[in-house]
Amino acid sequence: MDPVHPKAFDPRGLSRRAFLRKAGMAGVAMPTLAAILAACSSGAQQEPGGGASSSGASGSNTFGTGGVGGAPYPLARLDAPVTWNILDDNQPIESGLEPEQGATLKYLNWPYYLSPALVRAFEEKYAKYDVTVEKTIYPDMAGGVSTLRASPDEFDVMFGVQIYVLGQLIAGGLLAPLNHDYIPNLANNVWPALQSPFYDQESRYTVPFAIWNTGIMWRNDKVSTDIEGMANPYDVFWEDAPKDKTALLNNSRDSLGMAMFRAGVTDVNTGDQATIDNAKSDIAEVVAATNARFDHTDYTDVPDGKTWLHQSWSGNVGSAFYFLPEGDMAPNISYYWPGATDGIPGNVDNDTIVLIKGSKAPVLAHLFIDFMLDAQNALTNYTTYSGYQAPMTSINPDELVGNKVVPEHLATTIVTEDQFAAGYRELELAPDVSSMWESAYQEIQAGV
Amino acid sequence: MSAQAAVGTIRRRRFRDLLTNPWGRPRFLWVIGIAYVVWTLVPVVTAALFSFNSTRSISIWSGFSLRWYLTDPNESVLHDPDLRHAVVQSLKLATGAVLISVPIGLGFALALDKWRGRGSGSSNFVMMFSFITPELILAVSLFLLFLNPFKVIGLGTSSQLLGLGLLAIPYAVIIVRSRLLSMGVDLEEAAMDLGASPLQALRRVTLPLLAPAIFASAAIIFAFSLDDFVMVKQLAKTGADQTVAMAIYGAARTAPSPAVNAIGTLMLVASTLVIALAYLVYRRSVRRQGAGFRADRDALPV
Amino acid sequence: MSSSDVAPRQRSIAAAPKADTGYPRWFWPSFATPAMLYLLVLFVLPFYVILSVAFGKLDPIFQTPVLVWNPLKWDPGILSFTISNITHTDGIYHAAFIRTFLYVAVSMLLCLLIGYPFAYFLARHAGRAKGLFLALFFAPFWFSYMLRMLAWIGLLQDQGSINRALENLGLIGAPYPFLAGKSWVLILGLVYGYVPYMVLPLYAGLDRIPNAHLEAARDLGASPARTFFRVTLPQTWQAILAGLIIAGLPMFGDYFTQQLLANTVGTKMIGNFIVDSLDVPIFISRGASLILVLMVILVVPIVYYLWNTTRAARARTA
Repeated sequence: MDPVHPKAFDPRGLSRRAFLRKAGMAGVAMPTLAAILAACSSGAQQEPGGGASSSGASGSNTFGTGGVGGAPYPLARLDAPVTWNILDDNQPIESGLEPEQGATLKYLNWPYYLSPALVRAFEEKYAKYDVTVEKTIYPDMAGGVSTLRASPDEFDVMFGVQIYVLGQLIAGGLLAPLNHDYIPNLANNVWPALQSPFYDQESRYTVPFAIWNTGIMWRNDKVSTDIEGMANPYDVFWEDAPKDKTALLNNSRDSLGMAMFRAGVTDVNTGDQATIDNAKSDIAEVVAATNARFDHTDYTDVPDGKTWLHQSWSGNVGSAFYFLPEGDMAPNISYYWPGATDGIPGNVDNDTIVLIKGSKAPVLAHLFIDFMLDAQNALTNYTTYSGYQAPMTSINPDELVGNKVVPEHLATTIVTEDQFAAGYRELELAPDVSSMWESAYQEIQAGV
Repeated sequence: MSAQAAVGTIRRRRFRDLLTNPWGRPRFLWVIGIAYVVWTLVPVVTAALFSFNSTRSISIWSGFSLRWYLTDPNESVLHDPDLRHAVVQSLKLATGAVLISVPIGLGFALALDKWRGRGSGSSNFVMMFSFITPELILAVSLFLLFLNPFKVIGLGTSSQLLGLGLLAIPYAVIIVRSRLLSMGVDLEEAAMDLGASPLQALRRVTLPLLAPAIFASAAIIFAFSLDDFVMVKQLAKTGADQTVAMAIYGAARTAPSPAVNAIGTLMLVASTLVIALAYLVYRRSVRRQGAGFRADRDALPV
Repeated sequence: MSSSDVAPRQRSIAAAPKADTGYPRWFWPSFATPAMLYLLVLFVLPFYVILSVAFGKLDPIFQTPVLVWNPLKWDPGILSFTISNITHTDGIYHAAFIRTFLYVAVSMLLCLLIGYPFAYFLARHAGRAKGLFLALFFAPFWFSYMLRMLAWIGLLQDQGSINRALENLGLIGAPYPFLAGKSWVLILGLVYGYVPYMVLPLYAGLDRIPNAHLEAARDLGASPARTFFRVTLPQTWQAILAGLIIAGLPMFGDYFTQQLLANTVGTKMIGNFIVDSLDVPIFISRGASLILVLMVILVVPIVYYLWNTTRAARARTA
């Protein structure tokens, strides 16, 4: 039976198997892409203020070197990369060990983020070690962190960890450093620029998982505004949003961040109370005018018609296809990243896979991570299940559209190299700054 | 007048009496009664019905199918390990809650029954206080307890069980105690007059007489633990701790699917069967014992 | 015809056991030890934990609460933050508190208006044992709360039966957004969920009214309405109060009805804030203090209910 889920971006004129075979054979890195991204991460970012350095003081301390200060651990910034320390009592496992026998590998993940077919394929591949894989879902990043904290010895791997919680997790002793001997796919397949990213130089604790941008998803048959043509596409939420049919992302960073971008503020890691307050009242305005909801179930709500205008992560558009009938190309769904418009800032980001310190099967955990970094598997997960783009050198965005894996009217969901370079990232905040953001978000939730 | 005609007259008279019954407006009340029953049942029946829908929708009927129970290769109850696990977890927790709370509650009820001292009032007060406190408050307090001071137990199935036990003990105590109060001391004292020690009287007279009440409380506790939401959600840790109620809640908020209606329906059937069984057993034993519902009901603290 | 059977000799507290048993005084009360331990560790202690969290400190790395056991070291900062945000009109919890009380009050009233007639029907016209049978029979349907709410979501969705029926009848042009944060939908959801808790005590109370009273009223020439208001209703005040409390109290802790039926900012209840604050580590203490405030508010009806019902039960069975 076809191991790939039948519902996904559905290629026309090209069977999925054929495409995947072709893509696997292609496996050619895009030199331009690699070079640009390498330039991005190694030092000064081209856009000013792309990562706020809150105070001049470096954040170096017991947990890592580099970064900026303000927290008990260094805060990574684009112009102040962090190299996390490997502590004596938390060394990576030795190379060349045999995988554990009869283990239950438990992983934490966002909903609908990792293809069950791939998980089964992993179980089959390592069947001789009698491995079972069990998943636990977390609804949002805060929930994921608290689940992990509540049971630090329970889990082995965690997917979808945002870079703005890495410091907490590492300093909190929850993560184990990686032994790259078990994960050759990292060096072989992943974009060179993400091999040693600013938030984890030398990829000591993390490998990248998915990349996306944060934009706007809408039903083009219900919302007639030409969002792509607007001078400031974010304005659609303030000017033209349909009542009872609008939704924003349910976390402080994305929602307040959008208001900041609209106002032209590019530093969405700011600790300036006035900026945060302005963003808060802007969002409150949207809520008051449209009764906007806060969720990230756009992948069902927009196709269902429950929401017509949704602030979205680009990957969620792809996820929507999982729920649509076979062959449905969703012509009535549109997506746009406002950062593609001249002069308008937008968010791009990537998340990571991490190894849990309390893992009882670390070898298998490494192998699981390596399995997901396999080019073929990453492509499968992206195009047939999660909809989130994988930063693999073998994935050529143009090919995806050309081969109709991604429908042309949704080509805007693909994160191109320019976009990844030009976008602004959500980075880790100092605790007092984080508290400001969370309080502002809670006030929005209270309708105040 | 022939016997049949006589019966017919009596029936008509009863019917007329029903209509002119002075303590009520029967027709109006029957309408209310039936309307209430319909209002309660229609959504449940609808939800159960849609579990047999042939498409993914929970609102548009497209035909009968066992797809979500058996045949869908990925998402049916039979094939989706998460759904199956939720069913198993619900049954596990419900059974565990019964096993914990019925013995403890029984002991407490017996003790309250024979206690002469001051302590009985206050411990009963504490138990009833836990009964009436909103479940969210109990759940969050246990959450904080297991998060920090009792970290060694931590969150998960054991703490879910302990939480359900807390909710369930008062039910057992109330039901058993009301039966004790309505039973009276006669039979026990008769046994003791005949030479039994109090413990023997307890074992050979009281407990057998209490059996239907114990059984009834076990059934009620089973049914409500099966569907408990707030407590088990708060104390859950991994995906393995998810119950049917949590699965329905999660799916209802994100992507509803008839498969989730299916597991809900299965739980509904389970709890209905258990309650029906308990009711039959209770009725039969109580009728044999001679005391009626009335006495029990009088002793209920509501 | 008396409504109660010939009462067996009651176990009143005054009656002492006949035989000299030779058992120590603590023998029977010891049966209660497991229950008391259970309640002590899992009910009383957690309340102290809530106090310790609400008045405690924060962990420097994760910003999660650190319990402070010693009352002398308690920090009232979080509690005063919470209270001031409840009492001031621009406080974050102010609107939610008022809203919650409003929702609960309206829901309790509706529960009473719907539950009383049904309880009356059960008590007086469905036959003696049949009444209890019906009440019990619906137990699974009371308990399967999530399934019932799922059903309502299916019915109230844009493509649900209700909207389709309204559209087919030509009453509306586009689907009505029932689930887009309507207070009345939330209230009806609460009523639907909790009305069975109203019915049970009302049924018990109504069933206790001896038929003799009602017959006497009829014999004295009272109309049905008069009988109801002068004879039936007054004897059920206790039951009404019990029902209001048993149905109303859980509503204060309800958050899931809002999440399922009306998930928007404008309908958030106290329960939502409590649960949401548990997700953000720095706000867990706020959640604990909210629970504290809620308990202080609810302790009055709770204690009243307990005092009242134990007194009434003792009166009935003594």
